[in-house]
Amino acid sequence: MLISDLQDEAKVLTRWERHRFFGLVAGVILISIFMVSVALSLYQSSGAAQLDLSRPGYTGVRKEAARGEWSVSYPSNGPLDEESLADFRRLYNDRVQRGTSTRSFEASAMSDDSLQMYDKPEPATEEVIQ
Amino acid sequence: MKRITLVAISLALVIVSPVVRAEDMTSSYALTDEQIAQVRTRCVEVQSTLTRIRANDGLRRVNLGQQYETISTRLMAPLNSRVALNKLDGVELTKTTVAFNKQLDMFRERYKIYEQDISSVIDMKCQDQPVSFYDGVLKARSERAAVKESVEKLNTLLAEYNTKFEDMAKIAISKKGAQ
Repeated sequence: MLISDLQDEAKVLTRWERHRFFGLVAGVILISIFMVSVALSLYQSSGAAQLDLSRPGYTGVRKEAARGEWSVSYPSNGPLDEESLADFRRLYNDRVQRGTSTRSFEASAMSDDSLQMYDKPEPATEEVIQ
Repeated sequence: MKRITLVAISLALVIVSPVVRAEDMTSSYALTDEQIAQVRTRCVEVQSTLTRIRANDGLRRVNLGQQYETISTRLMAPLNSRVALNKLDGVELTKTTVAFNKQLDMFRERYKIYEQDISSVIDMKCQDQPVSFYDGVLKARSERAAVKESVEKLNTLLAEYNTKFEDMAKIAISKKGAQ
């Protein structure tokens, strides 16, 4: 096929047909932007973002996250004798102890005194008249 | 073709562009002009403190969430079905488990709101918007208090479940002894 043949063919093509490659690339970009927007909104709305310690700002605490915590389980069938009850008591108390041993979300961390955003007004001192 | 391209680009820009709001000079707590100036000066330092608080809270959320999930799905639920299989009265245990799961959902939701609030305060251009920044801190503080309230309720429910378990255990052992 000669170049002149291609030029002749291009003359009979519509405007859309001549730019279809550009249209394809633009369409792919738009679809990918849409898909990424949907994925990010799901990431935010599902609560996964709050559990993601790989985000910037969490690098310092990432190593402290508990690992392998799912290995504990209590069988859902079997007799309820002294031994099985003692097993449950031990597992349950261990987990509760881990969950409640450290104080969490204490108000003092975000108090005015802690953040020191501005100076508090001095309390008015009354002059003692003798 | 050009028109379609322009419309497509405009739409894409609208989707990805950040929302800009005008600065509101009214606050839930009336700050004096001097205090506003101090907030403006110190806010960058406050943002770095808030970043540290957010990181520590994130870690607490992950660790506490794991413990609560484990307790609910791997301990409470199996024990409840075991109690039912042994034909013992497990209604109180089941009720406490339902209340615990409900409170756990609330804890997750409240933490999500708190995290979004504190993140918006951290990302804010606080020197341009000191009053909004201060209001944002107050809101985040209030949401954090709600998270703490959820944690306390969950801990109370854990203690309650333990009490109910001990009551059930006494009945189970006395039944075994009678057989």
